[in-house]
Amino acid sequence: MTEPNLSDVLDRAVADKVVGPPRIDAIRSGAARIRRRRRAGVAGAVAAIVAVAGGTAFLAQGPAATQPPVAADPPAGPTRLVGIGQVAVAVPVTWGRNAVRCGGTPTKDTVVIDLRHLTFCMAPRPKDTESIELAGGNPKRFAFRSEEVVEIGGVRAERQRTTCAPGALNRVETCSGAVYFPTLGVIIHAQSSTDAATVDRMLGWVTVAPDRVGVPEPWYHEKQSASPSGTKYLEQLKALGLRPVVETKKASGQFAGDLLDVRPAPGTVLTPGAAVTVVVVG
Amino acid sequence: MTDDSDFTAYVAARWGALVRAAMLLGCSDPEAEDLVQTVLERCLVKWAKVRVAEDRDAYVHRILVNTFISSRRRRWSGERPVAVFPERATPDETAGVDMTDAVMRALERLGQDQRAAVVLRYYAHLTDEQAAAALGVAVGTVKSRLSRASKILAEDPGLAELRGAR
Repeated sequence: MTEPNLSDVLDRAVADKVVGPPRIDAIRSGAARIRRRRRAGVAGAVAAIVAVAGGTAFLAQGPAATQPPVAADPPAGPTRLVGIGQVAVAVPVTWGRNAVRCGGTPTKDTVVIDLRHLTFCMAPRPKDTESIELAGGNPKRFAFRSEEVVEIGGVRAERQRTTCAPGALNRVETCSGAVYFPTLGVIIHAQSSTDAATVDRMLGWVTVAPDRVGVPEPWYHEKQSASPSGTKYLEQLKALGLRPVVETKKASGQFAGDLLDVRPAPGTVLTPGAAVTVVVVG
Repeated sequence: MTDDSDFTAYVAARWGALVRAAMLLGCSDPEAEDLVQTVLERCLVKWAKVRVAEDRDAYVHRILVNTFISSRRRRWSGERPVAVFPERATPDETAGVDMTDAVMRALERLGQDQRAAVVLRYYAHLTDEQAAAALGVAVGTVKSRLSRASKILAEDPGLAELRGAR
């Protein structure tokens, strides 16, 4: 095969391949991450992979991270913030909120927060469906295991590595990973029936925003205290810098002071000092 | 203008060709873009060195080939056992009419070194000297790899059919 002939054949073989636009921003972010990691290494610090866009740094407990670094890129296209306290996740605006059925199985890409009315049935998770659940309180409800230490927005967090397992009903492989903030008491649990890389990418959307406060989920207080659930929730809102406005409502069969509703909905990200209406039994 | 402002111009000019070169080296389409992104991240970190390199293209292609080879090694070490073997790939009977398919199959018959030499020399249009610099071998080694690769490709039945169809 002659040289001009071979060059022509190779050119034509890939000429019709669709190539996306140059990823200049991602390249710059990646290069910055490499530089910071090298600087950290030179300084004798632990290995760190810092994500520029999301303000996310990944600190390995050992000499090198065994898990792919948390991605730096926010999701493509328009996003909205969903959060609890100072922890927030930027998710595509097209995602649903609590678009789940049965025991929390997503029916489409969705954020899951403050799930209360679960039906105790089993539903197979559809393929190529992503979900991110935010929750306060004890991370053990997700069978969380702290396997690595990460730092996100300057806050120490713990990472459970991404693992995959086939679904019990339809054998669709679902991958899961999580980030837990012990000092903030918030866990982000990401699941994907696409692949493990998608879970890692979604966990890269997690940020810690000191100038924002996500309305916390109130319902885990219900079984934790002898005092009325509304009282505990009001204390939590104040501690986060939000301004609770109490409304009372009659409700038969419930104790005075117990929580009935929260507006805006848990997960809504507000500025510090914003009002949150808490409806309690009067 | 920032110190690496010419980097953006370089990426804009070479992104497509580098991604397609990665495809010819053996990457899947999405993998090729990821690989080139990684390559260019590494280049940007050393851009002060790359920009004054005697031959910038040879330098970048050297990182491309090395990153590709490393990615293949990682993939191998990451292989996971499966309970059921996946469907086995069989020769596509339409290979003669599908140009891309025929070329990729023909390239798969080459050794990794030969394939890299072919892609750098005949797709990236590096000179023998540039390809040698990119591959970290002598010019004579590049020529011998190209010679053997050309012989294999000339005898490839898929490509022969392609030539007959032209």
